Amino acid sequence: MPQLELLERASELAALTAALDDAAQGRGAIALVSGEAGIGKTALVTHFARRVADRVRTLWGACDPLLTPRPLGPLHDIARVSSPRLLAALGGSGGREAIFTAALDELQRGRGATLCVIEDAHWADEATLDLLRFLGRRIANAPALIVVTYRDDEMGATHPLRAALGQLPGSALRRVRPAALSPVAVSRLARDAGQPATGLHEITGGNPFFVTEALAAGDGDVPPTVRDAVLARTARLSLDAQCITELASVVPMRTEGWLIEALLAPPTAALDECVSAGMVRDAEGALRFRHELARRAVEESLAPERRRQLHARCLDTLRRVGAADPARADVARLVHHAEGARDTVALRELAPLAAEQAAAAGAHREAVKHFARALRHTLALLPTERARLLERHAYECYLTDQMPEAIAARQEALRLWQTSGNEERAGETLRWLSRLHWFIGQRADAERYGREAVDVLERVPRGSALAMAYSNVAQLAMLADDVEGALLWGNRAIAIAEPLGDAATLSHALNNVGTAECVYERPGGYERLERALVIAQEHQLHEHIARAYTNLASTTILSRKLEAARRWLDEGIAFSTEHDLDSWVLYMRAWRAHLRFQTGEWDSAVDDACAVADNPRASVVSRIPALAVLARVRRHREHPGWEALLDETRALAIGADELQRREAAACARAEAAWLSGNGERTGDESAWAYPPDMEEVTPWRRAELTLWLWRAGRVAGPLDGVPHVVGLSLAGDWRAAAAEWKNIGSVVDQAHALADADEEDGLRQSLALFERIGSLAGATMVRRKLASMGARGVPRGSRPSTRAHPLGLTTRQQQILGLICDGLSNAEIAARLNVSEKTVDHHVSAVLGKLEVRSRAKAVAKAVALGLR
Amino acid sequence: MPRYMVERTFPTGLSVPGTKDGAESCLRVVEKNAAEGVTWIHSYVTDDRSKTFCIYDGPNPEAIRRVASANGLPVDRIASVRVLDPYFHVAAEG
Repeated sequence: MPQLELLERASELAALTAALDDAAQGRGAIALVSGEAGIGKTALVTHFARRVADRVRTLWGACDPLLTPRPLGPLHDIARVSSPRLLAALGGSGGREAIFTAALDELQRGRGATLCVIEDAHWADEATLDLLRFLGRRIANAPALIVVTYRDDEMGATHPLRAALGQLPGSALRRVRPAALSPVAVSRLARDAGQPATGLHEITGGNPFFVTEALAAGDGDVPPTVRDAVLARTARLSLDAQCITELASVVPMRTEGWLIEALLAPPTAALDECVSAGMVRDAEGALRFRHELARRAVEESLAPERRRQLHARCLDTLRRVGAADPARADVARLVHHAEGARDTVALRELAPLAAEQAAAAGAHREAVKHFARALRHTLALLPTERARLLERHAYECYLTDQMPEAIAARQEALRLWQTSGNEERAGETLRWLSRLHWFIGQRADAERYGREAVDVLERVPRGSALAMAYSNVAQLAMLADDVEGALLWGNRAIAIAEPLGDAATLSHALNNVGTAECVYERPGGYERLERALVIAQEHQLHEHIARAYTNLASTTILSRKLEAARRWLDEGIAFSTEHDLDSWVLYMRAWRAHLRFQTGEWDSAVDDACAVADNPRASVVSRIPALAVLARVRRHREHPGWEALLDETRALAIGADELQRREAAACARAEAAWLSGNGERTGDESAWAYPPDMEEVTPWRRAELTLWLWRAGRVAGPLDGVPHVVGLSLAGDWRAAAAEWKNIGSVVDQAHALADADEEDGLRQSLALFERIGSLAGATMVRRKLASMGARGVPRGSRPSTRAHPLGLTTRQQQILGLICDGLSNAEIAARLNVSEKTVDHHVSAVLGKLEVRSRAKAVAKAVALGLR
Repeated sequence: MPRYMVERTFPTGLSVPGTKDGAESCLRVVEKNAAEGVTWIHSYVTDDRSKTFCIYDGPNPEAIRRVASANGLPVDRIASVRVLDPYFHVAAEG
């Protein structure tokens, strides 16, 4: 069939060309080419690739519409055709990191730029999406353009591709959306095909694939649907050629020449006939439909029994060929045909294999589907075999956030292990059930299963399983601020794990014990937590490293050692980002949002909080602090919508049922009420979060809540067991309290402490602080108080800080720029602002970045030139 | 998508000249807004040009604020608003 001219795609081609030119300069990007099926994404990209073929290296891979796609399918395509090195990595034992790194190397190889096309990403398996995330975060400095095509009309709000794209840095993305053809272009195509254009644009909506098929079917009448157009075309083929199209329609990828030969042995003329009727033959002699729409039209026209037979024959041939040459019979592909052939025996054997293969590649969603398929066909298996399959299924469900399914599978496995008398497996399963119930916010069940696991495992020889069961109970205690429980169970875990050399359990247990001790500021806790980090680092236990960073950060935030917390968070987020531990990144960013809220860096606090709140995969414990910060900043800035956020935060915190979550929600709600001048409500909002026996709560955990209760008149000083700075406020020494909050670095607490003053001096300082950080509500509250005291000459409030700076500098950055202009060194600025030099470094580079200069001298010159000084 | 009214203060007066440059600077704002899914409907400007009341569609107040910062525009207040048309006012049913 003659190649149709590419009409009305000049701007799309120009956008791709510009992105490729940037890539050739070492500024790579991902171009997203999206649109409905048949809109011409592949045609556009093929045309583009041909146009630039002489100056770039092209790599081409496609995701496939198998019932469950092949893990890393596109990468296998690329490796098979263009890269022996990548092929070696895919077959090697280095795991995902080795494969992803090899893929990145592949993009950076050679002298010129590389164009890498990944087609039909709406079908991508999870490992391919992870690969895109991995490459997307590193593409900016690579001489490569990755073009990803996908159908956006079939993607719902929760489609995994949507989430993956949302996590790519926006600066690395270029979007190209080819539009439907205009009536003019459609009539031109009709004229070129020598046919009337009447009704063609109306019926096809300008969809290029539909237009082409309608013209090819061409007997004057426009077929009403794409399907009709395709079938009208194939109906005119010879019987031999029709057999080929039918076979190719059940093979949702390329249909290799040897497969056609083995099954049909058709005359060459029939193959050529298929090609002239619009199918495509590639360099290796494989046939495929020019478009998935066409394949599906033919497949759906087959009678069910005919379809089943074709699948069965494909399966049979592929297995025979695969026995001699395994590379030719991908197991995911075999499963697809086994399912199509409804071959239960084959599925029982093949589905678990496909599942393990997918899991090993990190395609966990696909692994879940294969395991579920295997479980459907293995009811008659030995109980222990089925239990093992259930455990694998449950683990993959857990990794993909499908907690109810994971719990159901563990519960069935538990019954099977109990019936078969395997106590060790039953105990491990109980420990898992405990963990899973904590994840879905059901603490009571988590505790019950946790204790049962210990009971069962104490009856069998001691080993890692028991140590981990102890550590799990310790973790639950730690999360609820129960230091004695954490110590008791954690130390039992350590006593078993240490002599066994079980680094993972040891790091886990040390982390639980150390964290609980830090919460209560007990000596040695911090050191234990750091040891948990070191052990995890020595053994490269990524999750445990991330968890140690997280708890080092959360405990230092709790005890208001804000500079230390900032350091742990920056390191932890950098580490977790580097290793794609996304859920840990989200959790730590939620904590960082909280930290930045306290220090008055609200723009960056909102960035962190939004990154968590907008991510559908963020867990409840990450969402709570993030939503609380968003609500508080909105309340302070008098932006709408804070009430709804506060309600959502409280609902989540009640479900999670841990004091640290309730505290985050309650403080946000109490502060909002206080800013509205509603003391009664402030008291109520603080009180609900408190356990009745609040004396037993660790001092820092009750610090902010105690202040709200005191401001609301619900408690009166002096109180035992509160931090020093809180005691100062309760004793009426707002001046000393404010000074201490200033030392701590918490501007918000400082402003509130000053607002407690009963004299003008303190209130005016509070007003200035609230205005500096952009708190309209805080400033209004303090003005009200000043007015009620009859103060005169209170400034109406120019709100300088809420005014966006022309270059987008934050208040802090403007301040630093001022000091740079005054000629201060970083050390001097650090001393002046009472922060670490590292923090100043960080701010200075941000300032230089926003001014788009490389040196301090240039920054000063630019600031003067722009009249900022 | 929620609608917002954004109040801005320009102490030295807003200047959008009625020229090609003025039109272009408006379009630059529109383009930066698009990156965050924010749409600028229109604005009311006081006679002395020191205040504007701008009507926007956007996903949330944070997005409104981010594009304001990207465009170098001040933000005083953001209110979530709805249209009330006195001549087509329909009483809520029930």
